[in-house]
Amino acid sequence: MVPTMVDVNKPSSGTLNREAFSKVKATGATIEFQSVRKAYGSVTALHDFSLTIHPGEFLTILGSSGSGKTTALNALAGFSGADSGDILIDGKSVIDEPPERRNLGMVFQNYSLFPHMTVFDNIAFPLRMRRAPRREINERVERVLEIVRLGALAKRMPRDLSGGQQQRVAFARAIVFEPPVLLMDEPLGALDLKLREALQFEIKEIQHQLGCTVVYVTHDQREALAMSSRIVVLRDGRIEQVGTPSEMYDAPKSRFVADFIGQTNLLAADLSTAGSVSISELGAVYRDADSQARQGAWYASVRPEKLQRRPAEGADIAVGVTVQEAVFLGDVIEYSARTAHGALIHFREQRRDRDRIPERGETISLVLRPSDVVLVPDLAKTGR
Amino acid sequence: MSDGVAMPRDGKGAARGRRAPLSSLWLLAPAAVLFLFVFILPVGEVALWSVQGEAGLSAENYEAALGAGPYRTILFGTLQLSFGVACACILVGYPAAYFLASRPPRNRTLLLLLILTPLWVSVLVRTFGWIVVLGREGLVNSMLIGIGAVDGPLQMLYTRGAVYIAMVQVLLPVAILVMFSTMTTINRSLLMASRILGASPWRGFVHIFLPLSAGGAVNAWMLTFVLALGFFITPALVGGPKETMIANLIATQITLTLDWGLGSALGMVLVVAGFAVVGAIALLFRRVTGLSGHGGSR
Repeated sequence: MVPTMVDVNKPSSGTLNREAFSKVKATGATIEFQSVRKAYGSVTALHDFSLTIHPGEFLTILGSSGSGKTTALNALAGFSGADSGDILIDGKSVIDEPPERRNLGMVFQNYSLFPHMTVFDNIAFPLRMRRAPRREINERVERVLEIVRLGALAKRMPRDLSGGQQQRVAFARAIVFEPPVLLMDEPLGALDLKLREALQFEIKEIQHQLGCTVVYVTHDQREALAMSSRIVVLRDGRIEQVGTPSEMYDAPKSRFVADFIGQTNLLAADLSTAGSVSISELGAVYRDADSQARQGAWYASVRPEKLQRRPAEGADIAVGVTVQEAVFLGDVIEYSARTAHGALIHFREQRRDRDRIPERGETISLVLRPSDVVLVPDLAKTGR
Repeated sequence: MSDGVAMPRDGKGAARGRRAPLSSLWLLAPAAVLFLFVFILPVGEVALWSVQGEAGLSAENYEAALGAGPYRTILFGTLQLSFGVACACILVGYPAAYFLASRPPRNRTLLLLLILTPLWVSVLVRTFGWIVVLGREGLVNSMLIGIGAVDGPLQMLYTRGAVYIAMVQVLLPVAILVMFSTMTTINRSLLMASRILGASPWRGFVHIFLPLSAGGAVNAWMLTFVLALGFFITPALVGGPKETMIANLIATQITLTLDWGLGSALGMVLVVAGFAVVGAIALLFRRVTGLSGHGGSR
């Protein structure tokens, strides 16, 4: 699934210099958002945003455009104030501090390299602004150039670099002063998929080595799953759910999160009878001792890989489907199929040599464990 | 915006490989023809006249124009005045252009329109306006006398100061426009980046915005300088005979004294002097930006 450790297509310049790391070390800071609210005119971009980010954590704020993720990041960076609430870094309120006094590293979506400065001068900029002595500037810039393996390009101008190289310069510039917090605003958005995946690993690795706290903003859920220690899903300026990648994937708390993170089948569920779950589109009714009678719009979220063709222990739900399409992806095969009740569902299975791939129109039987069904409310309909 | 000056490129990547294909050169033809007939040929002819003496080829016109005497004084006076006017336009116009460029795009249109309105009015009318304002019984004098600041009217018209003010007023919109168009190409997120990386607003301006907009300011300076060199009506009307500029002198030679040889020589000197100053400024700018490690260095 996710590209594994050895990626033969990874550009050779893409490897990081591990030894160079040992000399750069930052201590991560704690960040606390306390009921931060921000409105633009009549539009509230962020409602009562509260969140504690732990030292050394890689926290991703995930959301689509307009979800408030950039507003949250800008409030932390100091580019836009908050209407109310407070932001603390290591227990100290920074809400009234201008950006230059917050001591944060930041990588921008478009890199924002200074076009009139060489790579060296770009990276030296934050040190010069801190009035570091010349010798220290040279040492530190050389060190981070070594980390991102761009030492040979120190005298180049940004416009003479490739997109990936510019990204690394932006990264080097953000970490050269060893900030306790590193902010990243969709830093990989402008790169192609291969490079993006390679850089995901590099960024994670650098963060591990540096030990700084990272606040990463993206709309790409795959990126969020791959990189984060925790994810915050924002929707319409509110926190929808906070959790580790596996929590978000395995135990989404709302229809929105189940749908947004990973692939899933969302099927209307009837929970009006205590102890019983009815999913009419699968023709399935099963007992769930914990389930209480609940009204409102509820959905059963079923991940594609949880539906299986071969019988398994505890897989009590059986669903008859007609195969619509089989998509061969090498290691896995993805199917779309229609249930007897007319719902289109997707399922996925690991490919095994012996297996015969069912053909279009073939009717097969799938099984599912009740424990693999996650029941989620549609918060937009049932209210919060 | 003429890249040559605004942002000295490496030459390497920019010039090579990006040569216009021959097939598109015909696009230049209309401009080239026009330029040939209204500029190259007339200037060539003027150049010929300027070396025409009583008996064939002679340098006597240039000796008259450049030798010690009133002509040389007026030539240097013109260069000096134009230099000062161009500098004043940049100093006054830069903050205005900065203000304009930092407005949200939809608010800019109206403000730009306001800046440009003076250009709709002919230079002649605007210059007469200054006579009304600066004259012995003009607005400024009657106000000063009215509030009792002075006893009698001040001599403001027909001074060098009046020429300065009137010329800056005429050329300012041009300078603002040129600088504004450079400033709008500067990505504002660069300033945000400078802030988060530790620069105060002022240092962000000095280290990022100023160098990136300097090319536009130099272009604006050169343009206003060259335009000022050729100013004719304004100095004649608000400066009086004392403040004669070289353009007035040339006009006198051509239309009154009918000494076309001397007039042509003065014209050629003006063209060459203009080129020389502009070239020197452009070179200086390249040198400065090159040496500081911003821009042209390898």
